[in-house]
Amino acid sequence: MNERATAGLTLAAAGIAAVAAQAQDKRASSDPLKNADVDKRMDEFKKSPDPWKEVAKMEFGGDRTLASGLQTLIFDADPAQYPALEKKVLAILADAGCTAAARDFACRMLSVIGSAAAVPALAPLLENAKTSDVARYALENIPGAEVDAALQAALSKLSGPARDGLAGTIAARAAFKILGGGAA
Amino acid sequence: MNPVSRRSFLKSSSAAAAAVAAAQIIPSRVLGADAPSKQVAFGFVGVGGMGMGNIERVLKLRDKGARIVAVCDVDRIVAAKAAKKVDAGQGDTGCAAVGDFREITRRKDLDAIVVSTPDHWHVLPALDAIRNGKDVFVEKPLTHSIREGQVLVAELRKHGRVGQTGTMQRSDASFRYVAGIIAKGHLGTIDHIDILIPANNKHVGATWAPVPVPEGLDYDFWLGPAPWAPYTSQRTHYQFRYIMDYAGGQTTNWGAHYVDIAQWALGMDESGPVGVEGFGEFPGSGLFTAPTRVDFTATYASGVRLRVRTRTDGVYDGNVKFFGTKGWIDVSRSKLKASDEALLAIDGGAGKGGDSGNAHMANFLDCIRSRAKPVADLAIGHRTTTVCNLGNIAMQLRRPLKWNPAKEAFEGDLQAARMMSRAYRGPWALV
Repeated sequence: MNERATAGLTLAAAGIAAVAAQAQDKRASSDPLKNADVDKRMDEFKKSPDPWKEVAKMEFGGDRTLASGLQTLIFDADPAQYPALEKKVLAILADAGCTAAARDFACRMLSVIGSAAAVPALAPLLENAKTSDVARYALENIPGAEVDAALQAALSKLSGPARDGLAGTIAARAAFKILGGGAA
Repeated sequence: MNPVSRRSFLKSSSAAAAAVAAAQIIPSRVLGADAPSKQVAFGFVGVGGMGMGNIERVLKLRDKGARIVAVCDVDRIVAAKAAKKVDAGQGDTGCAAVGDFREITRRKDLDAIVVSTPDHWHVLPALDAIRNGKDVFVEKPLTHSIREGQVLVAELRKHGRVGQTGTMQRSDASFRYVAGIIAKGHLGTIDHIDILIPANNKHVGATWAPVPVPEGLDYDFWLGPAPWAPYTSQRTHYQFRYIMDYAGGQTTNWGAHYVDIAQWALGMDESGPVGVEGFGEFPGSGLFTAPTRVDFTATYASGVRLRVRTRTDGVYDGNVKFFGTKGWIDVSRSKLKASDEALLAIDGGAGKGGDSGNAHMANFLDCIRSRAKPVADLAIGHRTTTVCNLGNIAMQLRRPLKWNPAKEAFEGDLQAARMMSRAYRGPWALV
């Protein structure tokens, strides 16, 4: 490349830069993010909520759009994807800020796709009279001896309505195997 | 739930009334239920809109020996109103009003229980009544889950009781006519069936706020076996049907009527389809969770396809249209049409018939005396409700499902099988 050609390219590049700067100025005049650099602006775009984390904050009566989206994702999934999805659901239960509504949602999902891997997270809920019902909502339909063992273990730790409900779950798991239908 | 306060209410409200009633009622089983002159003592569980309608129907059977002895509702104001209506109809003050269904289902002086509660509360009072020697009339949709239906039918048979499902279209002249001529082959071989059911007639916003429970309503008892949730005004009376914790939406509300006619005509009263698939729409937010648009297809072993869809013309009724090799016939509560007028005049046609609701309750009373199976025996109601519940499950999972009607079990889909029942909140138990 000769000097003239090089000079021409330099001028062209300078021209493009000038035009770009002018364009940026024009854009910046009506942009609340004026003077923000490109990286910061991209950060703004990246602030879409992670539904798996946001759902842990859901409240009864609040917008449940994110939970509904996750439910569709879970129900539509191929069974091969259930273990990974189950981990994400269990992370909702493990969230320090998990609300009662979020716990309710997570247990509903586990009732459909949960496995024995959910038992360690559900067993403490099962043994607490305040959360026993919602834990059973998940556990009653999860197959496996691990679930049966957790249910039996909780019998001695509950009383009153919570224990009655637990006894009902144990009886239902036994009866539904007799009635057929792929059960428990 | 506060058992102490409720029990004290029950004692105060029922003891005096029971004393009056006991003096007047001798249970029919003591005298022989088959004797038309003997009174049949009824108790009612759930006396809101449907319950009040059923009270009127039983009151019309007074001259046939029916008498209402007690009513129950977890809404104390509703129960009192119903008892007042019964007393006015029977000309005395003998009707007890209670808040706990067990105060009725376990009474020794009752013969029959009418259950007209929200759907999630149909099975438990019915089971308790059956296990305590009562015959039962249970409103449609018969159950909230497929498992509930299996247990209910098994217990009905085990205890030898009479059970009528509240699908009164079975007692309607037009529906009976259509089912009859199809069963006799007048439409040729059935190819497919189209059912339209109404769209939801109540709506909510994307969010809702918990509010104080109104005076007189035992909300914890109202929730019963359903998961706990804060009270809000659209959760209970009537609109419970749009929340999947308590009902199955219009799929089961209207499907229970029109799928029932299809099952009847196909001779599938104690069987069902072999597959189902559906693609409905469910609300993404808000209090209501039942489908806003229903669209599912059940396929029978014969190859017949039964499609159930939400209608869009605003008419609050359904219809069922049968397509056979010799023509089509379309029936609803207000219309009966066919591809050929001759199909409407077989053996003199459908006739007019009387009020189907009254006839349906009268059939129940007749069967209490005769011990025959009613026209909508609980096994029939269970199979119809199963088809509706299969539709809801298929619409949620959005994939084709195989169903074995003999075993009443899904084949090859564990997730679908896990949606056949829900754990009850304590202290309630199904088995």
